Amino acid sequence: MIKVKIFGVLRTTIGFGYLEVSEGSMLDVFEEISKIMEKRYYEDLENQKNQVLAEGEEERNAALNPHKKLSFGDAIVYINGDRCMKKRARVKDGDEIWLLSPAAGG
Amino acid sequence: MSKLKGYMGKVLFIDLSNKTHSEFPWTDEDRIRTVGGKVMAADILLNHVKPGMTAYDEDNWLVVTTGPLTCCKSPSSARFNISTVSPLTNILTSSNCGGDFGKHLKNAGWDAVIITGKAKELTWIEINEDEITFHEVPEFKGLMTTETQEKLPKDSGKLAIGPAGENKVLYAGVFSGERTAGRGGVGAVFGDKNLKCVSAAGTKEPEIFDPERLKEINRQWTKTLKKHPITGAQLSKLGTAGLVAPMQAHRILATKNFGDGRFEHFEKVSGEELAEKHLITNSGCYSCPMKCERRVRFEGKNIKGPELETLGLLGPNLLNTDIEKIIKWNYELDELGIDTISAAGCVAFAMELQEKGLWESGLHFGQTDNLSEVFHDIAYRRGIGDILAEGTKRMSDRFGGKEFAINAKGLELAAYEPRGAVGHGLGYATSNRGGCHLNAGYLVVLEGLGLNIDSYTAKGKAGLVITFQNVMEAASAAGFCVFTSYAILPWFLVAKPTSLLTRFVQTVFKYSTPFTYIASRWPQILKVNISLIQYPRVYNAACGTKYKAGDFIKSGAYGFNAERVANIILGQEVSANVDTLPKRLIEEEQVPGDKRTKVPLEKMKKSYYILRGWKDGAPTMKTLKSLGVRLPECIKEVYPYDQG
Repeated sequence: MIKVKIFGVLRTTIGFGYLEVSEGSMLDVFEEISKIMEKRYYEDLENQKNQVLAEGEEERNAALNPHKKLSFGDAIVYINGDRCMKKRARVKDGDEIWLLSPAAGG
Repeated sequence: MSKLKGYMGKVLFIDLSNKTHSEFPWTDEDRIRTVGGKVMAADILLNHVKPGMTAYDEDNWLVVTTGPLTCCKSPSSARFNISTVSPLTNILTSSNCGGDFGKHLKNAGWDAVIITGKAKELTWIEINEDEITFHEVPEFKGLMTTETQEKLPKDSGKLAIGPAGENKVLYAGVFSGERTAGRGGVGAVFGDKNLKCVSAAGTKEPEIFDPERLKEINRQWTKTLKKHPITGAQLSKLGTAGLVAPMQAHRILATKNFGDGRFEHFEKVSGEELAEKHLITNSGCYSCPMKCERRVRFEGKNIKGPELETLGLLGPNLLNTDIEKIIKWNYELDELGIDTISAAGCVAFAMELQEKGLWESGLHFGQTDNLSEVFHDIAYRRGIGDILAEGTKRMSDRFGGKEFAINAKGLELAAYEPRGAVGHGLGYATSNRGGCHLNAGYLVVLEGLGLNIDSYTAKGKAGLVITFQNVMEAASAAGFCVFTSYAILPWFLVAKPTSLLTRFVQTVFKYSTPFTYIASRWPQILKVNISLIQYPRVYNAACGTKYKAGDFIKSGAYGFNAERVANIILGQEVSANVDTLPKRLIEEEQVPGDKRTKVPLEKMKKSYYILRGWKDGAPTMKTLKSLGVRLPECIKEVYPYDQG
């Protein structure tokens, strides 16, 4: 399996920071992440339906948006510590991918 | 009284030795020339300092300045600045701070306050509009920064030092609320003057030249800042702490006393870790839409969380993986009144001295259980703390290890390892106050964090560093937080890192020297207002001036050159020799075998001086004249460069 670690605002947008995906190209990796995002979105909605709100607690929006797919151009991609600029680059078992938000300052 | 709006039109001059005060002469001509803030302070100090003057001379002035936009409700414009001769570097330091002291000082009717002399007893200066009271407060001795501020009037702006300032730790800071004017030891100068705290209060408001226009520009600018990926998303969601991961990726996360740019366990001390396990909420300064401050839980209390510099330098740079310890140390250092960047730099250096057998400090990389005690020892100058309180430069004079004493001009470097962003390295080396990332121009925002221009090439970097230094200097002078300058980078370039347009623009930066040359030498010819640079538009609407983008950049260049001349007068040495970095960063490769991974400093410095119009690191008279820099009458006797 391939480890994918997500950082920055991307992580707060996607709703999770770590996952494992199967071998393939970076396009496949992003496709898989989008699928997981969609699945988790519906799970999140379902959970909210069953959630009993405490007094004064506001109903929250589901964290994920299934209509917006994550694409290669939305992130800065590193494979095993090296910058990857090719969306068709292949990843294999044991690789580690970092997906970073494209902007940071401070 | 000033005819310009926005300003309060008065500068307060306080003599602690005689417990007197007066109004310091400062005209509209001076205001137009310098804008305010740190440029104003540089102008004042350039015309005051003498060769050989030291931080602890009775007539070393503490110059506390606001900008014309401070208190005008423009986004992120609550800043104030403290400039003085630094005890750490023996040259000028300018330390910028958020919070609300600037606003309260203007509410009291003053644009700035200059403090000279030394009080006989520990003193609190109370500024209540035109009523200035000197309170002798021996009972405040030893109080922490928060305790001290709690003793001051509730609805006032406050400045205070902790025990570290009283004990003249060379990098003691001045604290305002929970914000810090941290760098360069301004707190030690307070301590030397027996000045424990200052409060300012009043009900005055600056008059605005065109309130409707200002309101509209503020609205538009706030919208721009909120839409931008850095100022609208990263800074509010993760704070500056969100930089740890991208710095790791780009090999600029200072690790093991700048021995490396990556840390294996970086995730344990990252902004994500802070946000997911410790964050209560985010917060921010007066009139700031970015709200980059982290509020975290510590021992049942809601406290200010660590910033990136603190996380990086107390984490990876010490090989520490415990973020809870960093939260605790950050709190303790703030209470004691110490700059976290320099303190962490000194500890890292002591650890390496120990590792190399040069000093038995008892401090070891990765072993940090005793650091709370060490920080207290620094504040009270006990045991090894007394040595650590002197900064890395003096420590290396005593024990050796200059090649890995990580400072520039005596000021410890911020958490960015410059071998992974060489333009940022040039900025560190040429920064007037020393190893500061902001005075350096923060080129790392182009070299990996915001955009991704080639971070290892020297090509085009000198001009870009100068342009960024000047813009940030000018933004700071007006009273703005320099974080607003990130919004100058178009959001669509930043948000789409692999797009053709972004890649094209990034390539163009390499060839930007002709443009940056003009912007550096003759900024005033840019007679336009660029929508991406909002500062002059806001300034004009608030003050009634007719600044263009070029005039604004010129004010930054003015300040940078004025500080440089003041430093030369103070130090009387060739500046090119001190515009440098430790050998580790310019001679050793960060990635062994990869020649690109060291800072090609001399190559970049040569271009930098040409573009600045400097000779051997010193501004020529021609350059100073073209910028209209006001020089002291004795310049011919004290300034040995290019008098022809």
